[in-house]
Amino acid sequence: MNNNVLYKIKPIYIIILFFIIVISVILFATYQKVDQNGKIQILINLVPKDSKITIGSKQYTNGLNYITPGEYKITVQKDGFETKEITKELIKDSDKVNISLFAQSDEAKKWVLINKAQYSNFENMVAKDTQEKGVTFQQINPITKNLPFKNYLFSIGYKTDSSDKTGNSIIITISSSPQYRQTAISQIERWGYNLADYNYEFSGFNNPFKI
Amino acid sequence: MKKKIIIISITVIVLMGILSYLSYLLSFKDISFVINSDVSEISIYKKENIDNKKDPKKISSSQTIKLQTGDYVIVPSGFKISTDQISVSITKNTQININPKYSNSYLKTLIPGVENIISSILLEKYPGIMTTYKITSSSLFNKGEWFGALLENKESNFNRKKDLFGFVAYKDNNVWKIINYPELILSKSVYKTVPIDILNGINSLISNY
Repeated sequence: MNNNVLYKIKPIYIIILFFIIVISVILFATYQKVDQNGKIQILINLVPKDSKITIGSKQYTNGLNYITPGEYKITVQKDGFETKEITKELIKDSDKVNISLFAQSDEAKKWVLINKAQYSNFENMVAKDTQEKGVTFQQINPITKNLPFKNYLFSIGYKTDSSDKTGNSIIITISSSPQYRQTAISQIERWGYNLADYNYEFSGFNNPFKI
Repeated sequence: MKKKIIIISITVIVLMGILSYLSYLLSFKDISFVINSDVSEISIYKKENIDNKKDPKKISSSQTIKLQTGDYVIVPSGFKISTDQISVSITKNTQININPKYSNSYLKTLIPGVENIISSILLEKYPGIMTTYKITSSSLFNKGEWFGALLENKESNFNRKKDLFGFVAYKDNNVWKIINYPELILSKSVYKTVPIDILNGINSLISNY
């Protein structure tokens, strides 16, 4: 019976349908490309996965999303769970938004018990990200690969810059007699690093021009 | 039946042709060039044509022209200015300001006059210390509004080297001002208002002195 119906469809309709599908696919692909233009790809990991996330003024969903780079106020909420609000810079592909919500209502607490796996997967993922951040610290401060450095004229080390809340900035510490401070500076440039990229602390040095 | 198929196929092909043509037309963007009076002319090359300097579009005054999306290289020319190439990527209607920095040879001719002014500013600001320091390795940057140099202790010698300081000054409303204070190295986080290439230039003077 069904075969007979298919047999009766005129080939012309199949051809029209084919072209409609092809044109639709082209239009959809074009729309996607235009929509993603100038945006970065960010990964949103939420627990519970169906929480409502607002970045800036737009709503997004758990998983891969495209967003215009910038600093955003991010709000995650779900009935029965504590609402979380953070401010975060989303400026490059691979930036992630990892947020888990604490259960408040009894119903939410029951949900958490049933869906423990979502929370443990989330924790594993955050732990992995933290490990990757260790690599990022060295990527942000490549000079740390060469430090500490010591010879008979001077020594160069580093310490974290407490004024930077991200913990990613460092202060280069240089210890030498005044005679060899410039030699130590030249050493950093010889390694191929940009001197202006770092802050410095010279032991036993008082800047006479800082009045 | 065959006729219908042919008509539909032709219609689709024509539609696709029109779409392609529209897409080609839409790839041209209105680019508004605002050219500084120091520039006598600019030559605009497609990136792939810059090596053999092929098919440039030449403009000698500010105007809007249509350019197809893609990468371009702009070469300015003029008496005082640097002829460094400017790379641009055209993706949408936009305005491009052509305001190149002065050439190094022209900037060098301006240094002696500026150095005298900076010297008196330093002497006024640091009267006690400046008696033991002298300005050396002076440089002007951009359009001569940035000045960088080193301060060398007059008692410094090969056997008794003393600290060498770098500093940067900026001319605002025709008045020169020292930015922050002279330092052993100029860090971008401290000298936030100073363009990075100027900081690099002065730091390089320090490390290679």
